[in-house]
Amino acid sequence: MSDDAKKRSLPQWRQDFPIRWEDDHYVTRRDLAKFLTLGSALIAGANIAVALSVKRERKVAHPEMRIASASALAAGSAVLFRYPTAADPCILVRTKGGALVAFSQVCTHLSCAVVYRSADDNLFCPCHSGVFECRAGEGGARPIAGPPERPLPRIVIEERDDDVWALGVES
Amino acid sequence: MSSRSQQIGALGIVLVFVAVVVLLQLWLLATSVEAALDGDRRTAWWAALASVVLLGVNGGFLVFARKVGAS
Repeated sequence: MSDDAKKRSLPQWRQDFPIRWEDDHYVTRRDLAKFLTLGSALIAGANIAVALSVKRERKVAHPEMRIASASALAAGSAVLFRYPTAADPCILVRTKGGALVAFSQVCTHLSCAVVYRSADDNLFCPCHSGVFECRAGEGGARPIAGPPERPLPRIVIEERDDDVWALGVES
Repeated sequence: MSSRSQQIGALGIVLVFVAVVVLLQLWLLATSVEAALDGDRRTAWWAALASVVLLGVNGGFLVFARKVGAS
């Protein structure tokens, strides 16, 4: 059957609209390779943007805030507070050794609230059993077990007379 | 095997490699974000550099696919 004969054998609507939806939307392997390479370029660009956005460690000063009375906090106990804003839960701990330390309560894994375990003198995240150290000094809340990989941000505190004051956040 | 079927086979293999490279880049991006959140500039920049190299590899695969198609 010739092409003309084939064409005439089709219904009128098919002759008026000869383009087939499936053929028009068919994705060739080459198109797919181009699309994947474009995706690859976007990912590489995003990676460069992330590398450029890395900020060095810094101490951020916020308005001072009184947290609690130092003498009211016994060794091996903790008190919760919010600093610098109401959306930032924090925890002030008097360790078993008597040191006063404060950290953000937001777990660096998936943002659950960590709690102080006086038996082990550490900070524990109940969501995925992450454990952080709880000691004074640089890197005092580094992760020691579980999925967290970054330390908890430290709250800079100062004792004035019998009061504990929050001065800033060390990220 | 005909030349046409060889071309189709070669393109298919190239697609697989390109897809694997894209997955590697996604992993590098996740690593870079973790490093950035940790303040670790060095790791973030190495991951970005590796991602750019992989982009070059993908570009090479695309050029190869075009040559195969043209032939």
